Amino acid sequence: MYLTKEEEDILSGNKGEMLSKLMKLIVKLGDSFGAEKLIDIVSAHTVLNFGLNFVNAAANVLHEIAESGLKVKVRTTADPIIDMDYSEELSVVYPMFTLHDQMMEDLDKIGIRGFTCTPYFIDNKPKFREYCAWSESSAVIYLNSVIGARSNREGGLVDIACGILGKTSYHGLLITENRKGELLFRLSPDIDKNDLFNLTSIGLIIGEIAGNQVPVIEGLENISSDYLKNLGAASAATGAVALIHVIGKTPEGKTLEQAFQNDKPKEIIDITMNDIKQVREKYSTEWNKSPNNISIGCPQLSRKEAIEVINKLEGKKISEGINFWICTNPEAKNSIINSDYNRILEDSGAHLTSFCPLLTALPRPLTTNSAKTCFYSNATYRNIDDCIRIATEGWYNE
Amino acid sequence: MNKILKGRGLSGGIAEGEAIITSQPFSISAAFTFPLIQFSRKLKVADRTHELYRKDVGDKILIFPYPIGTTTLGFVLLETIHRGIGPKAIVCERGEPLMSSGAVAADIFFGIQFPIVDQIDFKELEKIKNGSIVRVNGTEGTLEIIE
Repeated sequence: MYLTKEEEDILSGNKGEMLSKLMKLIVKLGDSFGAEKLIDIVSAHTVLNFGLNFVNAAANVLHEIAESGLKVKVRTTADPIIDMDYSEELSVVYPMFTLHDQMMEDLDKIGIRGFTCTPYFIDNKPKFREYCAWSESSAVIYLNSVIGARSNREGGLVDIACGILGKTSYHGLLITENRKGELLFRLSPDIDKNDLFNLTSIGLIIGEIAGNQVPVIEGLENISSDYLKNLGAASAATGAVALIHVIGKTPEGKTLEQAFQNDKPKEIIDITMNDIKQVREKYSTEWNKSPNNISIGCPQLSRKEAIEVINKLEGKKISEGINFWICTNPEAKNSIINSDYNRILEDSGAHLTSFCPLLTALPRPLTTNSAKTCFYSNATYRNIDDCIRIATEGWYNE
Repeated sequence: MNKILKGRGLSGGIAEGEAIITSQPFSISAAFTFPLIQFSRKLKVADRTHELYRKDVGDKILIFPYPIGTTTLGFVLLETIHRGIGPKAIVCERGEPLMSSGAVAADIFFGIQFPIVDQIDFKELEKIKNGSIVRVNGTEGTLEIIE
């Protein structure tokens, strides 16, 4: 690929060994995928922050980067970290976070702050058409689809390299032509499109079928950005989907012509209520007994979504032995805890946390309203009202 | 003469071993994260939605159509390479930078080579039998079927 004099200089090691390695990583990946050049980015988001004991190799690299004194050039956030407010309830998972303290120190040195899988709800919100280097599959799909900013699905470590260099390689979804819709999904009239449980199930189906192609959905022009966040996260889990156009909703999908860039869909797929029922059966693990944990969110809920869940808990009490997790970003958590809603939380016994919803899964059984959590954990997959019913009235068999 | 399939090298190095093939897209995060957390010696696929569920892919040449799943897969792959418990190489029809990043980082930061080759038609890959001995050359971008 073409490199500027300054980029060549970095690559050759004139600006230090570590910076050269980070540049090599980006250039090698870019070269493999036909990038012509590097491009300046405005923002980065990393998934390399979990501190779990399974990322030793990457954590070693992170530590080396921090020791070398390099810092990020652009606003860089990271995925959720453990929430010390719940050390007792999470005592099963905490011992797995052996790398947490070191990683937090290293991330801080590098200048990475703000820990949520929904960075666009805090202050890392790029604008339409701006270039970014994000990982966290659910955040990338939101960024590309709902905001219309541009990022490929970068990987943990590559995202940090991009943040430090302020650049990424120009290929894939950074290029307008590659953002063209490929598959058209239509929804049969028997589907209630206001029901989030249907929408997240549709997300699972779209991911399975689309793989790494760009899907377009017709008939969801009234979907809220929050619901689209949840649908997209499911598609990014069952597939490698990083961009969805929703006709009449998303900025690059105002019309079918725009979404398909005046071309025709490769395929048209009709989704029915029966498909939705089947996909739920496929991914839901039916524990048939009362859960230890119920996880709401994944991605973390927006402040508005969290309040909607809290309102549903008014006058109810979470049963003994069940942890009911409402997961949101740290800023929303603080603001809600310092508001009148905290009374409902305290009375009901639900936990509002800034932790990663996927990691509230142990010990099992687990019940969730999240399609993504259901895909990655052995969880019983239910709508939010059933999750609350199970939490407050006990398990039931349908 | 052995059959040689030509594709694109995404990450350098040469590896030889038994092929394990699936026509289902593969989520490296869903498959490998739990065995890594448990410090298992063997890398048995933990993705219960996958046909390779519970199959040991350690030391194998893993062949699938394309990778899927969440963006932790780069450092999850890096970890399996670094611990030396994962497959020896990956061959697919359509790779993506996310997956390559784990292997490229292993080379740059730890000097360990893990070949990945893509852009080979899955119709050709499908003809390879499970257990066949194959050689992946990530530098040249080839897959050689030895027996």
